[in-house]
Amino acid sequence: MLFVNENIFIAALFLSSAMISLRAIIDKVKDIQEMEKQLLDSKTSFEAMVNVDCFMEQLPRKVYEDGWPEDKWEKEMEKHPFFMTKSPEPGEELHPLIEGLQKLKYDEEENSPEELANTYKESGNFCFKCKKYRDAITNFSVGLKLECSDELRAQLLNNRAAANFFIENYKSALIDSIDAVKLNSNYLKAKLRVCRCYYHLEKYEECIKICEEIISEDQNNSAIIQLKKDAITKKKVKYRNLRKQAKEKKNKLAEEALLLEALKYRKINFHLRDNKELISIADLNPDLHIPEKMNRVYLENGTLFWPVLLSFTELTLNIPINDFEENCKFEVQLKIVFTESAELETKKYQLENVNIYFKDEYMKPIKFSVTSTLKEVLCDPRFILDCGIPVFFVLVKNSAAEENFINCIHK
Amino acid sequence: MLINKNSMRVFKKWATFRTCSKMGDVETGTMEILLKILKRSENSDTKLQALEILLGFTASSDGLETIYKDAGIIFDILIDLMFNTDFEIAKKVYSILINISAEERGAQLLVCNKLSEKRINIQNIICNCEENIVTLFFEQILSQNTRITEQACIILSNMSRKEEIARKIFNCFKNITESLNILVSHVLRSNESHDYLVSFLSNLSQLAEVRKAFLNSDDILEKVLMLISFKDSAIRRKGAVGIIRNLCFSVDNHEILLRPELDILSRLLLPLAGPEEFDDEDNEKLPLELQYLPENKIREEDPEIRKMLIEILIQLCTTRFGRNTMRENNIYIILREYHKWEKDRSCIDATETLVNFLIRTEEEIGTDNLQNIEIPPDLMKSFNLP
Repeated sequence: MLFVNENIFIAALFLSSAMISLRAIIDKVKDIQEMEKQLLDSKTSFEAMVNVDCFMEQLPRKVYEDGWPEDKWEKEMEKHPFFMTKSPEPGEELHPLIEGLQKLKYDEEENSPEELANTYKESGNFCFKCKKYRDAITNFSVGLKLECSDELRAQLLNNRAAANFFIENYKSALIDSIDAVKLNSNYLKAKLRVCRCYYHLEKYEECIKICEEIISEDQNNSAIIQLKKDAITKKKVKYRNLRKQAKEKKNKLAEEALLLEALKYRKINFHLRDNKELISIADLNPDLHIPEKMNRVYLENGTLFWPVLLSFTELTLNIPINDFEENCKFEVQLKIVFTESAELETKKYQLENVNIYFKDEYMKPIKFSVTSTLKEVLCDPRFILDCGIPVFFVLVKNSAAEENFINCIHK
Repeated sequence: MLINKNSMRVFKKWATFRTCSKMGDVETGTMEILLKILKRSENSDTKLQALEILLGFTASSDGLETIYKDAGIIFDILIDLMFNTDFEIAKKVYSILINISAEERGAQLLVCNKLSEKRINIQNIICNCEENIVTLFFEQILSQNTRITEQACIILSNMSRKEEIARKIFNCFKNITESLNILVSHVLRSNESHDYLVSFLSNLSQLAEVRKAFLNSDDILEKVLMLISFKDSAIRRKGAVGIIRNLCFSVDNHEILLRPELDILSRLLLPLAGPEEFDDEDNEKLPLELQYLPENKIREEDPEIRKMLIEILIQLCTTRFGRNTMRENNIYIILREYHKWEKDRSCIDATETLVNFLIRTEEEIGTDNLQNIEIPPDLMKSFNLP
């Protein structure tokens, strides 16, 4: 056993860190090598030992001070690359040993671009195995910026594509896979990935085409045969859904056209914003700031069904009536509302003691009879429809509220 | 099938020779002279004119007889001229061969003709028969030389009409499945010049071995089914439908053909389906590709093809399995609308026969396999069955 310089001895055997940079270690190693030479030159091993002993004797004595202090040794151990339990966070100060190792591994002077690219590839692969896909991608990207052989480049692209695939970045994965195949046309893994990317991007024709290419070279690839079958089915479903949507859209437009036609025919006045000439379906959609849920007016067997709002100003209450058939008389609907609505004091509101009004374009209240049908009122030339919902005001006859109502508006 | 009849022209130079049939000796003499010219003349125009007269021969049955007498020599000369650099000459040669192949005897002679010189230069991937003219045709078809591929396809299509000749051609193939695959893939990739290749394959499918090869390969079947909807060529569609129809003649094949992965019903019914709308419930029961068809959907324009499609469907009704499959897929509604639209009498009759099977319940039909029905002997007589 060789007696070596005591500092290196500690570092090598006990592996406890002196605060020695790697360069220092290398220097020390050079010293050892020199000494070994010297030793070999001596005549006997005993003489060698003696020589070393003499050599050691002559070195200046130093108390070892570079060890870990007793109270902080756990922290120091945590920082040492061989003993750390978790990897260093970015931004953290790095142990000089780690820095040294990093430099060795990644230094551009120490390594050729090819080696460096390979290193990044391996780092990326390691991250991939640890499921750190974004880190893997970063590694591969750095590797790709370097000059390297086509084969390595293709591998980097393929691996980056795989990482992107796992985080569902199918577009990026597709681009990388296609590039990988361009560099190496026999790259089966990359081709398979191209297929799968197309599949997930719902580009089924392209997927099927590449599947067929692969199958023509290898008839027995069951995974690809299955993928092709699935792609064919998905494609049929996709086109069926497109056709179905087109049909539904067409039907909807036809329905809307009929509705608008019916409204035009009845010559109902609409309050149109922005000086528009014609009404569109959007004009008929119920206003959003009405709290009650109301459907849009619709046509069924030639009859219109309206969403109507009854306003009881006395109680500041609005009662909605959906599906008010246009030929239905007001008295019928009012009766239902009066009997079924819990919010109204049924004593107060009876058919006989109420008046019902609508407002014209000047906000003037216009009274009408409860025996009228909805259609008759809507078609009244004074009636203006706003936001697709006719509003009618119900007030008790000769009440104070009614007087207020009439006078208020007048002003 | 196609017979190319050219009008006959009399050239002043050859006015002394009559090109119309009647006098055998004169014709033989004419033939000798023609052959001499074709063999020896250096002048392209002269050759062309001689070929023109030869073409005239093929237009009449007597003329053809004369050709058949010296078939071997004539074919040798013609094959030689096939490779002539003057395209007009090559085209004329092919026209002559088309006419010869349209006749059974001519086709027979062609297929039996042994090539005197080795003309196959490239390694032919389909045929290993170096002596047969058919190999030459395949070579032309598979090389990218598109100018005469159409003629080569027509000749093959003509020749394969008769079963024995089809069999001789079949015997030239190295591996039937591979060859079919190559040919079908080739058709899918190319333009109209390969249309008749499908007709050829359709004729070839009269052989049981060829049908077996089709059925064993999903890949090839899928491609054939795709051809049924090929927009630009009725010939291709007809050929494809012809192949499927031949495949259906054997009842054992029906289960294979009606497999859900193959989705044959979509392909067969798409040409018969129109733009009519069905409600959601009806639509959902149809095969995916037939659901919610747009309003610009056009039906198959050729009534012959429509009739063949209905015939295939009728064939598929032979077994209970087939009938049930078709009922499950709700194809009745497609046929109903098609029946309202159809004007051709024979198609309408065929549709009614088909719908008859689909509407009746299994109890009414009473048997699993309609081929097993016993026909009473007195009816047999009236059907003129052997």
